[in-house]
Amino acid sequence: MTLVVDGISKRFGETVAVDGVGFEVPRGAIFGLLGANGAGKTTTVRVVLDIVRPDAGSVSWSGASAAGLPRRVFGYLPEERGLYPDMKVGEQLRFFARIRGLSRRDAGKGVETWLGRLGISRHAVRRLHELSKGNQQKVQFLAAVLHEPEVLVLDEPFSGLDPVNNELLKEEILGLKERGTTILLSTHDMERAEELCEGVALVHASRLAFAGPLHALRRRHEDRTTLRLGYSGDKNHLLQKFPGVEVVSEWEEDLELSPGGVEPEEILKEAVSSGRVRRFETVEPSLREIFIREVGGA
Amino acid sequence: MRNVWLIAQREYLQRVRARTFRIVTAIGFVLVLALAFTPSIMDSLDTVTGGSTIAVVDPGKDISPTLRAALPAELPNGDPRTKIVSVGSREAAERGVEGGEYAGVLIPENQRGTSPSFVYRSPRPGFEAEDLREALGGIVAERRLAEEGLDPGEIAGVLGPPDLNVVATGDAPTGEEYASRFGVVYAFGFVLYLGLIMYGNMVAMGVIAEKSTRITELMTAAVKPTEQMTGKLLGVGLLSLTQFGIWALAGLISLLLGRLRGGEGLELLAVPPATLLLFLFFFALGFLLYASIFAGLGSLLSRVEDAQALMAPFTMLLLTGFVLTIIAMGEPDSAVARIGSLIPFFTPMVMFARIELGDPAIWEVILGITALTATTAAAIWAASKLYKKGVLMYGKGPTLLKAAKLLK
Repeated sequence: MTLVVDGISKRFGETVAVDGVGFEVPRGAIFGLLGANGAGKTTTVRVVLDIVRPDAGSVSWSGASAAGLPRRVFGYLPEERGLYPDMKVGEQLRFFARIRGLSRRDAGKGVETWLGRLGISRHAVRRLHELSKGNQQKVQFLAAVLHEPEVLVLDEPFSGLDPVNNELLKEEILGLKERGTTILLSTHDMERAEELCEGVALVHASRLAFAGPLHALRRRHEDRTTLRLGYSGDKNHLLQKFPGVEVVSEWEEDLELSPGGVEPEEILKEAVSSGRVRRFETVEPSLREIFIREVGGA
Repeated sequence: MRNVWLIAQREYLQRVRARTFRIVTAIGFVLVLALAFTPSIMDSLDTVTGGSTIAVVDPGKDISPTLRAALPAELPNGDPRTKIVSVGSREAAERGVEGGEYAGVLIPENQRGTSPSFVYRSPRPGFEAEDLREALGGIVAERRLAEEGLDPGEIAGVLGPPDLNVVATGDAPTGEEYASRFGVVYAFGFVLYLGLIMYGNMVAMGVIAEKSTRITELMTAAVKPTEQMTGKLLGVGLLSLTQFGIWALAGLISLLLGRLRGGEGLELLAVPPATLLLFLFFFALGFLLYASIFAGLGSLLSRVEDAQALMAPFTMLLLTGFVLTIIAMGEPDSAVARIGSLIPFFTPMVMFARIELGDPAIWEVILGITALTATTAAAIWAASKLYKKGVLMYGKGPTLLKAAKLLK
């Protein structure tokens, strides 16, 4: 059971939206589709959901062509609000659940449970446009998950949420993953992606820059690993000892060093012998840094 | 099919609850009721205001009885429309006019010779003056003929209308039947036109709104575009039937009320069931034709403002059809009406008028309906094709020409 996106390309007139993007998402994983605005994430998502047919390439889920599968398999939270503003929340969610194949009874039960879970039961009889932006986003999320899809595609799900609801949604996403849902998370929010994803695909200017597990991406940027040293002693002595080591940043008695090929243990030993060490850690580059490096440097 | 039904259901329920729909339906309901009672209301109004009393200065009562007989027109309640009262003196008559008792005074002046003269004095001479002129003309002519020595039978023969027997040789309704049908067809033709415009636009606006609120994207991930469109058409179509049903109910109620009151004058507005069925048939085909075109074009747009330009040609077609219908109502079997009834975009309205008021050949009816059905099928096909392509088209809408190219 794997979601396989195999070398998809799509152009709209003269514009190439996606060019040969491919990646694999194992069942029950959260996979990040990362890229700047206009990189081709949304088109990729639309191809996965069969909203757009690709010019080349294909998408399959557990070996079967995704386009031929019942629509109930997929859940989708689009980037922009896609709900009826004048329709009541409960009625609206029941409609979307039934459109995805749920029976009237299951839809009714599902809506009740989920509204309760996200703490918006009291809004069930209100019209969507009367709700706050954050609550509307919760409703949009429910419209994507009510029918318990096998593959859930979330396009910027955290936009417009306050920190509390942000956390709530994160918990729900992790809960779905635990129950076996395969999740494709398209976002440019690197912090969220770092918290949630095991694997990522980096899309830049319509092309794939990287696809694979997050740790593999980190390894690619090992040279950006730094050492954080809380140190009272002679900094210059330390730097003279290791000519390759450079100071990346400095704040009072905290140093961030780029090791420049020197083993961290060597530096630690020298630091301990020449002064007092309060803190010593290796810091891997954040996904944000990696992203900027991949995208900005390309 | 399940999805089509779900979408139609949602569409219908949302719209049937909308305030505008309720208001328009209620206004139509009241209007139909009012229309049915219009004749009797007009009658009572006429009874109160339509009659006038004329004083004739006629101490010898020479002319009053003849004049009375020459003014046979009656008010709805049976009173004479122009009441003649003979008065002894001019002064008394003038006083009556001042007091508002009489509308005017008729004073015979020179009554000798072959051209007697009269004076009619009134603060505001109205219709009654014309009636008087006509009545007096008849009386004077009669008197002259009598003086020439003709007997009453001969006089009647000279003054009476010639005997013209009108024989209808076609199936088209004639005379009173034509007049009563004319009113019905006019009302139905108007509702047909308004309904097609209103519900066609409703579909277009709904499609554009779903695109601008990006619902289309979420829907397309779950439901085929063709199903979305079919559901929408079905939902709005059912909505229109609901509205017509409620209005028909108003018609039925007024009919029953009329019967209960021993209804005179209601016959004029009684709608034969066949007419209603024919109306529904042509409305259904016309709605599918125009609404699917509007839906297909609407799906290419993401802003309501762009709709006008793209749909204008088809709105113009509808208007042309309506104008042709009015022409066809006057001359149901004229060349213009015949050609119009065979052009699919006009068929629903023009053919309806022709069948009701004229005598179209059976082949014309079959050809018209066949062409209309084929065009409607083509329109639905084209619309679902546009719908598929239009789902993700955002920004400024295309021109009609570009839209046509998308069909390839």
